[in-house]
Formats: sequence, structure tokens, C-alpha cells
Amino acid sequence: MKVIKVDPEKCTQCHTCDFWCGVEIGSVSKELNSAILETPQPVPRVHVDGNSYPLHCRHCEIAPCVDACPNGSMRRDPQTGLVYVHEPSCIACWMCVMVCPFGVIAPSSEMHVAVKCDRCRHMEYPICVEVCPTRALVVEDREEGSAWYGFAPNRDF
Amino acid sequence: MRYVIIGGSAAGISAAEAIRFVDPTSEIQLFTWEHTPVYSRVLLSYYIAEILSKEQLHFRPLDFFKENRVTAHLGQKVEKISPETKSIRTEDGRDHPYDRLLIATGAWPNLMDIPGKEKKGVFVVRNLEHAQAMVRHLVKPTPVCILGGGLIGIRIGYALSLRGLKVKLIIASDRILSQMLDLEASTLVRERMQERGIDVITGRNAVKILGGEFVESIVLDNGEKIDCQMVVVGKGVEPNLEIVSSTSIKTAEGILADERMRTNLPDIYAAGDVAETYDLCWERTNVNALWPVAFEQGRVAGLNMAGRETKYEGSFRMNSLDVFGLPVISMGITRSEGPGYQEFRASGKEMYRKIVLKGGRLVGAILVGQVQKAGVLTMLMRKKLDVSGVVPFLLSKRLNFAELLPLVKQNQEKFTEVEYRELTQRFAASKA
Ligand SMILES: Cc1cc2nc3c(=O)[nH]c(=O)nc-3n(C[C@H](O)[C@H](O)[C@H](O)COP(=O)(O)OP(=O)(O)OC[C@H]3O[C@@H](n4cnc5c(N)ncnc54)[C@H](O)[C@@H]3O)c2cc1C
Repeated sequence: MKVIKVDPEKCTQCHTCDFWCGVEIGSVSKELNSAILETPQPVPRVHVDGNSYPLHCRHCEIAPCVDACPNGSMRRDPQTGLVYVHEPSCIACWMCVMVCPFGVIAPSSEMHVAVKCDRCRHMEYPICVEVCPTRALVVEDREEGSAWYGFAPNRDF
Repeated sequence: MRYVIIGGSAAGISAAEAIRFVDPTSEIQLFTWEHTPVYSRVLLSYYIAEILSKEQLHFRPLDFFKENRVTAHLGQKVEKISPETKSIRTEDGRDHPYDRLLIATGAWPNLMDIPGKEKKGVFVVRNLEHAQAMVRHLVKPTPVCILGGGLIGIRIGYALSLRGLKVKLIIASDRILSQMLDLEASTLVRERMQERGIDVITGRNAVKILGGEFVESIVLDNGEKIDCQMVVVGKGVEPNLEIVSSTSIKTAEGILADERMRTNLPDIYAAGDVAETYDLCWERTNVNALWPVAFEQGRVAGLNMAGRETKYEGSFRMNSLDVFGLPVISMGITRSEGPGYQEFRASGKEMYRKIVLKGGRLVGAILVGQVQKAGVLTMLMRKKLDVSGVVPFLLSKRLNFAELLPLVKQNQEKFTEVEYRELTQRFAASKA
């Protein structure tokens, strides 16, 4: 599995990553000028909170959010193992928010959905990695021997 | 190898998934007395509220059994377990042998012993049939009394209120959700409910249900009579132990399961609402009858059954609830339970936060109004860190994981999972 890794030596907490994540991934319009005016406000998937350590979903080997989800909306991509929210069925019960050890699942009551990073699994590069001006964010293979576990349906249901 | 699982809900399905993960070929037989496969009990109140249809209740694809090559016996009650012959007997009299057995029979509502409880219009909610019966009864908006202010009473009361019913909660203790919340938090929830038209009566028990064939009213212990056409009993649940009563499987409140989810008998495992396991906050065994806990236990049981040794660290009570847009999360021990406990609080407009420490360890928390990053507290509870140096931070809106990295780093030996190591390795480099 490839995950986003952070080099805190390089991160200056400039917020370029969460800003563009909000625009490109979180917003409806995908256009900077209109995204900043949207209500509800777009929710970025990366959290720049301190210690020069932007945090994304870590795609835990055994993900407590997948265990906790009462209707299978939190699930893994069967090809890559990346954890994502199947938004149409999410009922905003915040069970995943309650168990995420990194606090990186955002409860958006306005959008009525749990919002988290899926490492831009449908894109070649995550947007945050692409825009980081100091290259503090990189996509790298997880260490050898690591696995992933949990619900990974082959198709939507 | 032949696996038999009794129970087709959170714990049973999670175990089947886990067994298949390790062992792609052996036979898995799963028995459940219910007819509807893989639906989520947690969602029944959403079904009653008409937020979700019956088709939206399942938590795994409907072809789960086929896909995972599980032979499912729906609508089949298991009546007997015979550890001597390593077999179980179903109600049709047939015996089914097992090599490894999982008991995941869940729990059942405590039925109140109250005169009049057999009248039409009196309900409990544990399974889909109960919920469907209730929905059929709801032809017109009628006044309803909910007996019990626990999680299920609140969820069902909230659902019925969303459907336009006039709901009254009758609660024996001095506040709603008394096991999850302290008085401050409970008051916020109560106020929100009352603003939206739900009546809450505390410190009272119902003693009688009156009416003819149908419910017409209830009588409280102070003699007060309340008219209602419907009564919902939400007085907690108890583990389904019936099938183990004739065996030497050890039970306390639930079936005692060790850190591999094994019972005291060889090749018999237990998981979910029926199991009693280690409670990380109370530091003794406990039944934590909760969906995420059942799922985790089912997984650990399944992996161990299939030969992949996995340790179950334990659980604690935790729940998340949203009442008319007011989010509430509660976990662990939420009030001081004796010497050595410390409570810390923070509050603001429509928000309340409390954490409980014991010997410097975080053992409980309540969050009302703002619940973002609640999981960071769950993590600290699970990892049993000394958090006495960061109390104000944990209570603040700023709570986040990144700023706890130094603490995580200091306790590296507790963070062996790859997802943590990736972070602490790099963090070390930067601070060196
Ligand atoms: C209305 C409602 C709301 C809830 N809300 C929450 C919530 O918000 N958060 C939370 O964490 N939890 C909640 N719960 C609790 C949660 O649903 C349970 O913790 C969870 O379902 C436990 O799963 P389980 O697999 O252990 O047992 P159960 O779900 O009880 O399933 C038991 C299974 O065993 C089968 N079975 C039992 N006996 C036999 C037998 N003799 N023979 C054959 N089959 C048998 C049944 O058919 C069933 O498939 C709620 C429950 C209800 C009813």
C-alpha cells in the first residue's frame, strides 16, 4: 500500500496542502473563486494542526473506523486497501469519529457525512503532495510485510 | 476444518470475514434464528424514523454468504451445544458437528415485569420484526411513553418524535442516559429534547399499563396516570445465555472469554454482546454490549479460530449519538468512582467537555456539541498513557493528534502498529 508520508523537517505549516485539498477535493465547484464562498464550507481532508506534521488518514492496518461503522459505509478499496467513506450511504452517526485514533475523520453536520482522506485514490497523485511547495509530503510504499485487513467490497452496494 | 458460528450479526459476520481472510477453503456454517440476513440493529431507530428503508439496513452486501462461501442457516435456532461430541443441535432436531465453534448469540431486551405488558401497543426493539411491528402500529400519530432513559429508549423516542408522535420519556433515575452522561451533559440533551417537544419525566417508574386489548394509559409510582396509545420498554439488555446453560461454559454476566476470545472449553469461542471480556477502564471483566466492540471481538475470535494468534486488548463503553443536531459522545468511566479519580470540565455555549483521569490515565470522556477529534481521546484511553501533563489541551477545542506526537514518542513501546511507527520515526528525525 502506498501512503502519504511527511517530512517534518521540510514542513513549514504553510497550509498550502489543506487549502488546495479543500478546493480541489472538498468543494463542489472545484474553482478557487467560488469554493471559498461555498456554504457549507469545503472540508479539507488533511489536518495541519502543529508540530510541522500535517496529518492524513493513516489507513491503519486494522482500522477501527471500519469496525465501528454500523452500515458498511466505511470500507477499503479491494485493490489498494485504502480506507474510504461511501458517502451516499453514510448516516452521519459519528461512530468513526469516535474511534479514529488520529482524529482525522471530520464530522460535517452540514453535509451530513463523515469526511476523510482517501489518499486521492482515483488520482495519479494526491493533490496535497502535488502542491506542497517544500516537498514535505510524499507518496511512499508502506514498509515491507505490512498488511491491511477489513471490509473491502468489490462493488458498491 | 469445520467452523460453526451461532449468530449472524456484528460479531458473527465479523468472525466469518476474519476466518475467510486466513482460511479460504474450510467449511463455515453460520446459524441465526433471524430470517433477514446482515442487517444492522443499530439502524433500527433510523428505520422507525423513516430515514432508512428496510433495503438500506444491511451492513454487508446481500450476497455476503455466497461471496464468502459461508453456508448460512437463516431462521434456524440452535437449541443445544454438546461440547463432548463437538456438535450443536438445531430446533429441527438435527446435529451439526464443529471443529471450532463461535457463540455470538448477542443479547435480548430486559422485559419489565409490569402488569398490562401483554397489551397491544407495548413494544421492545431488538430486531427488525420488532421495528416492523412498531411501524405497522403507527397508523396515526399517537401519544407514546418510553420506559427507560438509556441509549435505546432515547434512540427510539427520538425516532418516534421525528415521525410526529408526542413522546414522553419516563425515567427511573434522575437524568437521561445516566450511564453515559453526567448531570451537566444530560441536562443539555434533555433541554434539546424538551425544546423539540419531547417530555422528560425523571425519578419515576411506571407501575401499571392500563387499557383493554390495546394500551390506553400508564400509571406512575406517584399515582399519576398518563394517556398513551403506545409504550416502548427500553430497560437495557442481557446476554443470550440460554444455549450455554446446560454446558460447563463459564459465565458471569456474560460468557467469560479470555484474551483470544476463548471460553473455558476447548475450541469454543465467544464474542459480541453475549461475551464478557476485559474492560480497559474498569480493569476487570465487563459486558460492553456495543456494535464496534462486537465487531472487534468477532474479528479477534475469527482470526484465532483460524489459527492466526491475535490478542484482544479489551474494550470500554463508548457511544455516539445525535439528538436534534446536538452531537454527543461518551466513553469509559464518566464520573469519579472513588479515590484516585480526577474530573476536569470545560463548557461553553451548547458545548460541554469532561475528562476523567485515574492515576494520571484517561479513563473516560464526555463530549457534547463539538465532537471532532473525539477519537484522539479513545486512542489515549486504549494506550493507557499518562496524560496528567496535557489536561488543558485535551479539554480544548484545539485537541489534535499532531501536538501529542511528543507524548506518543515518549511511549513508543505502546505504539507498535505500522501506522504509528511511520509517524514517530520521522518525528524523531526532526527532533534529533
Ligand atoms: C435499537 C438499537 C440501537 C442500538 N444502538 C447502538 C449504538 O448506537 N451503538 C452501539 O454501539 N450499539 C448499539 N446497539 C447495540 C448493537 O446493536 C449490538 O451491540 C450488536 O448488534 C451486537 O452484535 P452481536 O453480534 O453480538 O449480537 P446481536 O446483534 O444481538 O445478534 C445476535 C445474533 O445471534 C442470533 N442468535 C441468538 N441466539 C440464537 C440461537 N439460539 N440460535 C441461532 N441464532 C441465534 C441472532 O439471530 C442474531 O443473528 C443498538 C441496538 C439496538 C437494538
